[in-house]
Amino acid sequence: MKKRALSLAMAAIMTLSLAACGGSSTSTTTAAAAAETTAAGGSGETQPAETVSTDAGEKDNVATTGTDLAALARSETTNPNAGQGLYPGTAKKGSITAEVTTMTQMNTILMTYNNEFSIARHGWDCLVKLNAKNEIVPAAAESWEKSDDGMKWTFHLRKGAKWVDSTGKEIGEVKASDFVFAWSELLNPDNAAEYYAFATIFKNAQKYYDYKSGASTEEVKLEDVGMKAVDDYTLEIELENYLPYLLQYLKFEVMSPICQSFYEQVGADKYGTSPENLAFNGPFYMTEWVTENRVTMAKNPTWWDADNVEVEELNFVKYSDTNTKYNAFLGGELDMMDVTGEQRATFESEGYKVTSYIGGYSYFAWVNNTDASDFRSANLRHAVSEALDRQQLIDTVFKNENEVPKCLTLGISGVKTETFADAVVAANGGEKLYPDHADPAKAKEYLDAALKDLGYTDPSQINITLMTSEGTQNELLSQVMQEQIRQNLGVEIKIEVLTITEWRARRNALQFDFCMGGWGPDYNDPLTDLELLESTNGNNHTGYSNADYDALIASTKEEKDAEKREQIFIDCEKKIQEDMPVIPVYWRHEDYVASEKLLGGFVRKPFQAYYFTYTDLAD
Amino acid sequence: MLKYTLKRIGYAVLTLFVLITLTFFMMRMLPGDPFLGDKTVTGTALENMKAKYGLDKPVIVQYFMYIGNVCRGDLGTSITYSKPVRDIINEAFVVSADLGIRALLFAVIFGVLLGMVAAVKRGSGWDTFSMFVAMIGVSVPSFIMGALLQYFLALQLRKVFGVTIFPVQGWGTFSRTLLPSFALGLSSLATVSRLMRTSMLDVLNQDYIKTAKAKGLSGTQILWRHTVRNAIMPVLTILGPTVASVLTGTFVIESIFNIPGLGKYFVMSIKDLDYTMISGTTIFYGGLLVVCTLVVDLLYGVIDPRVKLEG
Amino acid sequence: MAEYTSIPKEKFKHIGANASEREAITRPSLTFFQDAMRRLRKNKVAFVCIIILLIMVIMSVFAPMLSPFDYREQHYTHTNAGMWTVCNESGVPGEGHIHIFGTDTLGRDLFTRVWMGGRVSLTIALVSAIVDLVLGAVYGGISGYFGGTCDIIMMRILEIINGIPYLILVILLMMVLRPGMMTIIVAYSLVGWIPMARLVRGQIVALKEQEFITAAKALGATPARIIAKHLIPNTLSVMIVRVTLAIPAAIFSEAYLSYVGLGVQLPMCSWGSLAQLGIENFRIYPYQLMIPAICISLTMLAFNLFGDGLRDAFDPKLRR
Repeated sequence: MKKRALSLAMAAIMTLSLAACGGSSTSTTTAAAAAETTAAGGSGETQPAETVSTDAGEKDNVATTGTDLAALARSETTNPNAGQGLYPGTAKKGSITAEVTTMTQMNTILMTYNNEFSIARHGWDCLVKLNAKNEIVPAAAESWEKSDDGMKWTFHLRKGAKWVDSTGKEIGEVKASDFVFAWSELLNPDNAAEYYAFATIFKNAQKYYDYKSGASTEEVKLEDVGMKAVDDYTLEIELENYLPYLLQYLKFEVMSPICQSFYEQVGADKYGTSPENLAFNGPFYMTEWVTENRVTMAKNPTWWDADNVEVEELNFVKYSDTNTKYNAFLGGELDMMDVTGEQRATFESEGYKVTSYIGGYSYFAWVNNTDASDFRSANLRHAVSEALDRQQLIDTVFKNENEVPKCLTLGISGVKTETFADAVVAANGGEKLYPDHADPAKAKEYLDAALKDLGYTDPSQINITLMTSEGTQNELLSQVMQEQIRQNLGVEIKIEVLTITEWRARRNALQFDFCMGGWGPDYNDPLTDLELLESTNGNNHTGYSNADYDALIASTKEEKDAEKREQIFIDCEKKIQEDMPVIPVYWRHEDYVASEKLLGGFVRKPFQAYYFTYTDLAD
Repeated sequence: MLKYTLKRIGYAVLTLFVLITLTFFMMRMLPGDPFLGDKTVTGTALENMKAKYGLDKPVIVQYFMYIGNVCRGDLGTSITYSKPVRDIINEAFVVSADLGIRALLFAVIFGVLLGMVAAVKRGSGWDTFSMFVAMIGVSVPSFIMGALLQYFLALQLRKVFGVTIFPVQGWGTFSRTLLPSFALGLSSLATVSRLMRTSMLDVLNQDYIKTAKAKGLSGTQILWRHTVRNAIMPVLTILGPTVASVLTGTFVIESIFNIPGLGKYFVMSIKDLDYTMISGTTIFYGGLLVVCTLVVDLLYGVIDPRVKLEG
Repeated sequence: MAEYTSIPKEKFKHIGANASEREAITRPSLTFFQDAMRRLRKNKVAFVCIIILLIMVIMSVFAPMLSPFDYREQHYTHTNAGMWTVCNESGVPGEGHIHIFGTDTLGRDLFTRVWMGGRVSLTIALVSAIVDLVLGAVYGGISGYFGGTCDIIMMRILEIINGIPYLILVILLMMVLRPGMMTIIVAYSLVGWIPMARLVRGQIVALKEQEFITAAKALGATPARIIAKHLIPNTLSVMIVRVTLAIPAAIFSEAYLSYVGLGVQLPMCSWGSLAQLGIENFRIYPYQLMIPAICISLTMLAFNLFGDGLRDAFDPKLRR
């Protein structure tokens, strides 16, 4: 149920936060030179230590042609279990079956879930995409250049690219106008696209959206929005604000093109309701979509790089029962699945290796800092934090490589260090901000102070409830936290299990004491996590409102010097540790196994939960 | 009879109407709204999303609009899937009904037979055996039964023979239907056979059976013409609602065997707060329930000569 | 013929009517209930079932009290320990004692948890079954006996209650009441009595056309008396079978709610939630599923067989 999107105010924030790296030199960026680090930076291990200031760095090791992309993918990932003979995978030749957790929308402009983006990545080509190293490479566009001030971009589309329908029949050419059309539909209030904000990077787009929604009276026409098809193969983009990371936006799946003639033929309310009502320009086309159960895609022979694609068929299956999913993998009905701690242990005991990667998710407890909860006492928040044995919790519930958080922010590059977290640790005298193990003595000291704050005489007067959403892992985690707090602090807390919707409703309304939450980065800047605790942030579910903290966040938007700016972020982290408006608990690693049918070449990275196009299959 | 039937149909429509109304207002009392994601949507975007599904109007207006649409046969568009609710129900019901019919056939045929054998051979080894078989179904919860079937019949058999005999999950081929039909049928089988046995025993003690024996009717004639015909009554009572719930699928069996049936929408639409989907599935299920009960009640009159259907 | 007529009349003596002797009852007086119990005691299967159920109840009540382990206490050093593992963690009350059923994935003693779960599951089952029986019998009895419009309306109300999505009811209830055992009992009772009411009504509709009811009516019996004295006892056997099926239904209902994630309040457990957790580890630690599964199945089996015994004992038609 993880959503990943840019927050709505992001366009503006990006501009400000990247002011430090402005002043880009005049450059005509060709495909060959277009290498940028992904916004998330992802895991420190696979990402070069590049900072936000990389100016579309000229790199010569970037794959340009299809062959290179395939070769890169195959050299980047290999299945460590290939050839073991334990789990040979699905029987059908050339077909891959993978697990997804959400599949509700197939209309790209309405998608919101990570797994849906994964499906879209196979069905549609955006202007650009990520390669196996998470670097930007050309896709529907062949080359592009930008104006001196970086406000105007021109894209040259690949000639001869075709639209196909759900039977694989060609129905037209991919034109520049199809992109403009898709983005105008994203900005069409009738579609109520949740992620319309992606398209507000274009000049006048936000004003157009507001006018169309009736939120503003200032008339703006579609023609005034900064996106134009000069001819069938040339696309011109004008930006609202300076945005060096434009390509990171354009690779997002909601920015996929839509075949205008086809869309108008099936009608707006029918488009995307079934494969027959969709047109594709990506490496695969959808042949079947059983709601809430399965999406089947077939290789698109008209795709520009089809010669390098070995996979004939893709199945994305949603399992409503985790045990069934596990049995399906064991029974050769599934090729790739995410594993739980217990499953990981079993696979490893059989000598079958489990692979993990960092998706960038940092998990922490949202704590209600308002007067409605006993957690209004900062000392109580510290007491709970000290009572948690984070390493023990990871070993018991997850049984994997999850880490004790060094700080709140995960997966962001540092200015001089590989990751921002390293910079925080260095500034903290080489110590993590959050300890591995519980310290009952320290916890009790904080507790005594908390009792004084709250005017209580006995710990039993403390009344706090851990609100959790349903799911075995959530429930186990809650019970371990409950028990650790009971044993190390001597305070009894209650657990309340709710449906995800009620959980979110109560969280947003601050009707809870504390609950677990996770946050993944939207872009490669510590601000993506740290702005959460700004008092005005819509996603601040703590009620924490601290003028000093707000001032720190505001100053990062002014500060031009990258190192000084990073220092402010480090101060923010320290402030969080001091005030503890949220209690960081663990950094998540994603674990998965692939059947031996998949020899390599598949991509599993932040921003690319799945990319199977260049998978090397066993015969 | 005709008057009675018409009157009952009238009541059925009224029942459905009350059901829709109650469900409509009850689901609005559930906490949250359909647009709650991990990240909070606010402002114009949220208003546009609400407007798209007519949720920006007062609840009472929405109610009358909804009733109007339902009368025209339009169940609306699902908020979660952006598809017409009717299409989703159509797609899923075919699967659920297919599974349900297989399971019911299995349950009724074997249930009635087991119940008959147990009653006729009362107190013998046959009785014990039949009832033991029947009781497996009510003694093991279906989610445990499903997991055990998957482990032993799907995975272990595959290990022994080297090929897949019973697939673990999925739908579409004949071999995939076997385990779920069996698992789903098993719980109804128990109900059917035990009721059949009890009511057979009752009937066998009735005077008219003695009369029939005295008249010199053959054992088979007594069994089929008098005993089974009368004994099947309570089975039918229980079958009415069972048919409705089995045809619309059961959430547990469908999740365990990953079957794209209707069952999961009853649970998921409520968890997602997909208002149109909740109302749509409720109307569909309620309608089916009402029809099944009606049919059973009418069947009473046909099967049991003692029952008078009063208008 | 001839021999009989030839018996002399003197051989016969008129002794007169002895009023007290004529009214005397030679067999000990037995109420309906005593009679039923007498016959139940003769039923060996039912007797064994009673023993099993008693063991379940006694263990559920006393085992968690006497166990050196607390049902919620987690031992991180020996998670997923097998059956009969000795607890070697120092400094806990259970040190040196044996985890009879092993421990679960958080290192909690399964023996203690299984019997804690038994408390929850058995309470839910018994309370629900009683509510089921009383509500269902009264509602179905009234509806079936009076028939006509009253019947039609009452049955339609049933359909409406049955048609409202169960989860909506549960989630609404959980908002009003605190999540936990009581809520689950109320949630189950809200809909659990419906099959019973339907069944009782079906039986009564058939029975009330029979002669003995007409006779009772002719003798001026009130409807309440006819329902209570004639119709209910004659329906009892079907009702008892239904109750024995309702008990598993209640336990399953709780297990279902655990399955959809709305079970008892953590860290409390029930047999359903234990089995649910056990399934996830079934391949590696089969005992974590098998123990709660066996408890559920054995209890169900015992209730069912005992129900059969009760049926035979109570049924007026089988009275000898």
